[in-house]
Amino acid sequence: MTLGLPDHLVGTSVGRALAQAAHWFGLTCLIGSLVSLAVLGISHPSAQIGVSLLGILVMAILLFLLSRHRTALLSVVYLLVGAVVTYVVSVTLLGLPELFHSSDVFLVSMPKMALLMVGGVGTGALVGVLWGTAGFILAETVTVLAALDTGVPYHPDAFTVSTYLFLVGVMLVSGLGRRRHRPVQLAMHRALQEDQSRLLRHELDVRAVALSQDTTLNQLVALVHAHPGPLGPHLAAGIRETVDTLHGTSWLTDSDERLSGPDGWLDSAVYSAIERCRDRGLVVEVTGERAALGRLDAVADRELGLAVQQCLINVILHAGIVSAEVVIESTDHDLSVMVMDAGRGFTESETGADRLGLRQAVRRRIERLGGSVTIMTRPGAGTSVLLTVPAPPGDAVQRPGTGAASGPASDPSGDSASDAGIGWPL
Amino acid sequence: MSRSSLTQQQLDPLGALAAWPLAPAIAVIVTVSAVVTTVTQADQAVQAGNAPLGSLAIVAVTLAAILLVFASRPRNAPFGGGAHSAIAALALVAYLLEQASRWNHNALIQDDFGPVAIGLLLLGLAPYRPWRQIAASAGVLAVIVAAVTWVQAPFHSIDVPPVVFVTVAVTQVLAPALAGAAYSRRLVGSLLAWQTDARRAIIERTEETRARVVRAVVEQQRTELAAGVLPLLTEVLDHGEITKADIVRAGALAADVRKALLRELDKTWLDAAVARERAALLARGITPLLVVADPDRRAAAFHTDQRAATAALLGALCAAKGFDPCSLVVQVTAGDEFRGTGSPRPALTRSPLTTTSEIPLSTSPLRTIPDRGPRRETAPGAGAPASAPRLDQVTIQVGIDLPARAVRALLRPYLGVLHVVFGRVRVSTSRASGRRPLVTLEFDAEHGPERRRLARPVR
Repeated sequence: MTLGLPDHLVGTSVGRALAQAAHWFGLTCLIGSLVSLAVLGISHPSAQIGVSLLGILVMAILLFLLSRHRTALLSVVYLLVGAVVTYVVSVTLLGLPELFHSSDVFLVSMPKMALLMVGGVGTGALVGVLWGTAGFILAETVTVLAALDTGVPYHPDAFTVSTYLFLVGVMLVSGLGRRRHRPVQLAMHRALQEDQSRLLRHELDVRAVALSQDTTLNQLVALVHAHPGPLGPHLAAGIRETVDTLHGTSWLTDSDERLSGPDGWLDSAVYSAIERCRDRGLVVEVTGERAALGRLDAVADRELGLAVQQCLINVILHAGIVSAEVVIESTDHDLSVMVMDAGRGFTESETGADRLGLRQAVRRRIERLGGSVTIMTRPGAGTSVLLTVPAPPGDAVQRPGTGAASGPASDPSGDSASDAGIGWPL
Repeated sequence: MSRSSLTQQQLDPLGALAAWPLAPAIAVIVTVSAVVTTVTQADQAVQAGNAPLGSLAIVAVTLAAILLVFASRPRNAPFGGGAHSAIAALALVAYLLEQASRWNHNALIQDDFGPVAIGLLLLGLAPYRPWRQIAASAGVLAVIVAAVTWVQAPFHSIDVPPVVFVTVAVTQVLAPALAGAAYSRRLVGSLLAWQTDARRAIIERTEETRARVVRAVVEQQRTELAAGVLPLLTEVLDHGEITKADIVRAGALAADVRKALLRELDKTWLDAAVARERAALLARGITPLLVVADPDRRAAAFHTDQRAATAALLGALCAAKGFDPCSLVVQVTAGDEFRGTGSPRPALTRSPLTTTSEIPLSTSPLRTIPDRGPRRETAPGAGAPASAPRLDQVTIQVGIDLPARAVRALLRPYLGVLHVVFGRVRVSTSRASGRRPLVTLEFDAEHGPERRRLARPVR
């Protein structure tokens, strides 16, 4: 399936792939450095080479860990340890008697290039460039110091400089190139969704044709073959059965047990909001009492829809994850919609201007309806936003089980607890 | 297709399109570095007496670079294994020629352009080739580079063990190449994970609307029958007798119903996609004339990606600035009809070649509704056995009043996708005086063995 990546996943996925590529590049350089130093240690035995070997090994282990767990702390540790190791290796190699007469030898470049490949954390092109630049500056700085210490002339090394420029170029192309094709990617997503809808329509059309053939056409043919005069009992019964079938409302749906989606759900603004976010590539799973949305009046429906949309947009923009879950619960007097994701999470009290949507578009909107908003989140533990609005009882709503909302949906007191940073079990 | 044989270009053509500038950048880097290295170290080649080989090495690496740029162009997608092998082979030849040109006089291994060129060219394959093949190529070439370096080790100017030279040369090959393989592996993994989620979500989302679609189908059927069939049956029941007029009316209605059923069965996704664009244009206050010419229902055999790519393209064309709403013609024909003769394709006519106009309608209401699946076995000139793969050709003609450059910019990303899901994509523009420029897109759709749809006889 040539679906491609949705807009909000491009940065994350390509960033991770580039980081992985950078780590493999760095690991290869470090393995090369390790082998070279080991061989030189045999031909030119010294304690300093042993220390260098150990340093390269530590650096390789850190880079391996970084490829598995991209955290800021590990990235900083790698940069600092790597800078020290690069200095030690450079001093060791350049200090070997009568061997290297300039600092720009490939053996020195190998740990330097590995230092550039820190990859770092974050998903944006600019972030990757900044981490790489930090590595480059550290690498060149320690090489200059090593050259000064050993008295070997410093020459900018073409390998490290060109590798750095290449890394920056790749990251910028990957980060910026895709943006031009966003509308086309969106069109492809829509086309795939519409194709699935067309398949469903075609399946039902074929069933309708078959049924029409069995009923309508057969009765008309029977009439064509009948003789003028009184209607026979068999023909009358057949025609009556056909008329009853066609007058009924369930002739296409009798055997279809999957039909459970009432209008209250499909016509709701919450459904429309979810659809819009699905169009943007977010996978939204909906569970619970969807039909209960039919109990809301037009204003509440619209406002709740906009609030849910804002929550889902926050998932797209900030959670760094492809999916979200929407759970709908109701009591006799309230209706609750919980939007959950297992993404990065955040600390609500520390949110900046980019989270204004959560305060303005969600909290105030719902509070104007007489409802409440409970935000349960903490960094790294995902986010759950519980929106509760008053809903008059509705006869048409079918509530499985007791019909009572469970857990947090019926506990408005959770607001203060969540604001204090208590994590919601996701 | 196994996971390790998939590529970013196959799963995300637009992503590969965005990554395309990497290929010419690498091409320029390897070519320039080859020229600069050869010129600055010409004295070593002269000492070795093999200077012409250095020039040949530049030619070989330039050819590899050109091939990388050419094969990675969206219009040449998908990037094949042949191009991959050719690039690797040319890079190796360039390396061997470079080494031969300075044989026994190569002062420093780190100044050679060959190993870096091999590594960078393999890195350039990352968006287009499977990671396993990139890694395998890198491994094979690294072994050859190691062997050549080992043999030359005694003649280098630095006194270190041969393994150090080998390590330097091999690292220059492996570091960029393995980075490319890692990129390909990781991105394909992310794409597959996302697509699994997306596929499930699309199905679930469609199922959510099932009730609404069912109601629409029921309503449509009822509306169609309410005009004639239901009143007739009700009248006959009410009167308790059948008249000659009733029998004549029943015959006429049966023929009409049958015709409507055939029309319904003959519709394909292509009709629905064009109908959608028609409705969108009508909603904008434009009365369009959009024509689908697929009398053999060949579009029914298209797979999901082909359907989605075509529908998205049609949407983009109809929404484009300067689109002539009376110009769109989509034709699906047998792919081999115009092959081998070298003669130009006949221009599409504006005749009303709709699917429904081609249906042979019987005056007898008792005829069996035929199988409306692809009728290739009965089509003139289509003698291929039913089990053989078939080739259909899609031709889209559309009038768009835009400069050629703007049309190319509009189509470029869509063509990037079409090239991956279809074969032989061609675009041409003609400008007749006094009329809007006519853009013609042609692409081939290959399908596996045909599967006949079940016929439903009318008793």
